[in-house]
Amino acid sequence: MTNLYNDPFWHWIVVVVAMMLLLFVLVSATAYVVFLERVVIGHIQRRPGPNRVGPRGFLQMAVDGIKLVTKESFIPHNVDLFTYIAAPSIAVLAALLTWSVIPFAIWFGGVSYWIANVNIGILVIFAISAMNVYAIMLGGYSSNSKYSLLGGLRSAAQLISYEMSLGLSLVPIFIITGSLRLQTIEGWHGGLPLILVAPLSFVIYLISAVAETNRAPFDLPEAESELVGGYHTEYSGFKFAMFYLAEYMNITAVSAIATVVFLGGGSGPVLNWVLWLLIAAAIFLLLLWSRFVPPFGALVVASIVFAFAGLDTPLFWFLIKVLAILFIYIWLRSTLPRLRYDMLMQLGWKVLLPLSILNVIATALVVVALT
Amino acid sequence: MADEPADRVSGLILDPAPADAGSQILTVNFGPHHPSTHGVLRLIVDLDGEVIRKVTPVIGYLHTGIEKTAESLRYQQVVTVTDRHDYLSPLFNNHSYAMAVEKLMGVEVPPRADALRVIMDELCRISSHMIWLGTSGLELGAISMLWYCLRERDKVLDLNEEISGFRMHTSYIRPGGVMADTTPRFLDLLNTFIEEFPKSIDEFEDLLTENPIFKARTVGVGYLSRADALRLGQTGPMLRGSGVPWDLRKTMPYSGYEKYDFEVATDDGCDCYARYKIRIRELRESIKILRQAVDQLPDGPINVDDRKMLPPPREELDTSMEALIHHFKLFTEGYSPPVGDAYAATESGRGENGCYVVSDGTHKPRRVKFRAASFVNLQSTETMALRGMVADMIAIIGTIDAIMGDVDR
Repeated sequence: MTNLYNDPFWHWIVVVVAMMLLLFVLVSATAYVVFLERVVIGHIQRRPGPNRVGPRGFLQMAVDGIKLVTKESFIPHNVDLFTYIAAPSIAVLAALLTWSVIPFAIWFGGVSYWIANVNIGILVIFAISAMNVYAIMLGGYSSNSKYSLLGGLRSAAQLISYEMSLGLSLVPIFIITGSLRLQTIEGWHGGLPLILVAPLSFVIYLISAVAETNRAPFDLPEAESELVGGYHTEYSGFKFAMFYLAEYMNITAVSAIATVVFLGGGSGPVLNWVLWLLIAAAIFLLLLWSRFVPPFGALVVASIVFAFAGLDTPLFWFLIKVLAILFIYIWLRSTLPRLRYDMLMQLGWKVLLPLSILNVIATALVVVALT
Repeated sequence: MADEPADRVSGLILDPAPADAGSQILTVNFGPHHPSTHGVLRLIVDLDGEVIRKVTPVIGYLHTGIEKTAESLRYQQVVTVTDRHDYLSPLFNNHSYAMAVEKLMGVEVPPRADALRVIMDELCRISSHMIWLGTSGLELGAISMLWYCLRERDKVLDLNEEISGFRMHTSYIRPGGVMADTTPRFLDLLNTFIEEFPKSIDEFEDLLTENPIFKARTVGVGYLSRADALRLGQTGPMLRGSGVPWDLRKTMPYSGYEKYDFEVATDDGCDCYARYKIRIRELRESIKILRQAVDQLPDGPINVDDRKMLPPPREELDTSMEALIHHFKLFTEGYSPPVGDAYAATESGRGENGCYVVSDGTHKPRRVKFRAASFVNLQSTETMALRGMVADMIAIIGTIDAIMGDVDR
């Protein structure tokens, strides 16, 4: 099969199809990230988590989604209507746009199709994710509530502070790989995944990303014990769902970036289909034995693993790695207490920022010395 | 934090610190419906940015009229309403009330009843501290603590259920003794609990005690000097956290606490972390007391042998005329202590849980007044929270461990 990218007409068809697929997959995948979080936190807290709606609770998120979307769209008095409605839209917009450059590709006929393969991929991501500040700040400012206002103020400061170390944590990667294009970074063949070449960058990135996505232990903008719901206190129904969706899309996005940049993206052992069939059979038996899902469910899971891994191994490894990083986020949330606002600022400006600058300088020196 | 601000007169803030020039004060209303106000505490907070300039606690949202209700109930009926004011330590409320009535009646409960009271008190302290640890962990963001702690508390509730039939509002300790004797299953469950609970405490400590974030959130936060603690009438862990070794179980022993070997946990930290460590140590001391109490549990009756106060056994009713008369009188009129008043106090998980009963010689108390530890401890909110940040205030509300039912009664 020829490469459809070379045909100007088919190129656009592919991009549009990929965008639609991505939108669909992303929204439903996000719902299941929420589900994963609830089940994992449930088990960490020694309770089953959602398990009533559908088999093993798998339809819980669908029901939650329908409930949120069909709820009355309540708008409090004296809100700044335009910004009040614009804020959640900006949040979702930013979250979706980030995904346009993440090399989350469809391998078809030996060619990878992605939406955008731009040579400044990382910069695009930073530019777009900076828009999140507007969503949160405008949401907090416009909803005419003091809790929201405080939440918005906190997050404005927090996001701006951590944007710095987040950006600087990736600079050593650019120095090593010599590219800002995510596809090049993913395919960097230095012999090792970049997490082993630049472990400090990975740690700084992971910590800053937690702060950047307002997740525990840095979830100050929405610290429910202090500010009720933070910036989204006054939001309900669909508009709340948009904030919620955006948050989880961002988490998935930062995990995907970490996977691409540090863990080698879709690279992993490529096995032939016989081995994958054996692995799928093993998973099937394991699920049967664990009695976590009914036999039919086990069959479905095993078939999905086989179909994914056998047909599109890179995508399979990519998803496995993203899930691993998501698990770390969920784990953090369920175990660590929340930091105080001023401690968060100190951590950002006095620890992470100098550390990442040192990291950049050290990496540059080493790279220069080696070449 | 050693130097005390000059405007702290008699522990109360008379003149809140003036805001910096050019800054604006934002008045925020926390509560009564707020995720971390332990029920319905309302705090009107003046904020300068995130810094607290003034805190005004507003109480009364959970007023239940328990003290007034007690005036229209017979002495033995009052026990059931005492359960419900500090709803996390019902046994201590029962105990204080029972001791006050026993003082009025001039009776002494048998040693087995005393030992059972101690056992149930210490179990209740554990369950109350479990709620404190769980909720204050939750408020600081360690959300899983709540589930771990409620799970342990459930074992105590199982014990309550086994011995009294009720899980929370047991009304187990009554004037004249206790409600029922132990069952073999109760002792089995209790022994298992004594063996297993210290391991759970170790697990909680693994999660929190040395956790850098937890320490950063609590060390030096909610500073309450020894002088302030005494001036504000603090009791319980709030007072012991400021370095005053005052524990009614040691200083004014009741129900045979002098027989048990245990230590009063004190700490000179004066902050939320010190109070956390004290409560954790109290859990371990409670287990120590429980172990001794179970080993030394004396045999004998569990109620005073006074037919004027407690009903006769069922079988006596068939043979004894007096027994029938006593039974009839007790269940139609009740008993009437002589004119007078009595105060008795127990050391509950929150501090001095006192009960003052006035008798006018009739079968109903003239007045029942509870000295609620939560109410008094809540006074220190502003002293501790001032000039701190909003997040500190949440830690401080958690460390006071105020039960709003106890505050408003």
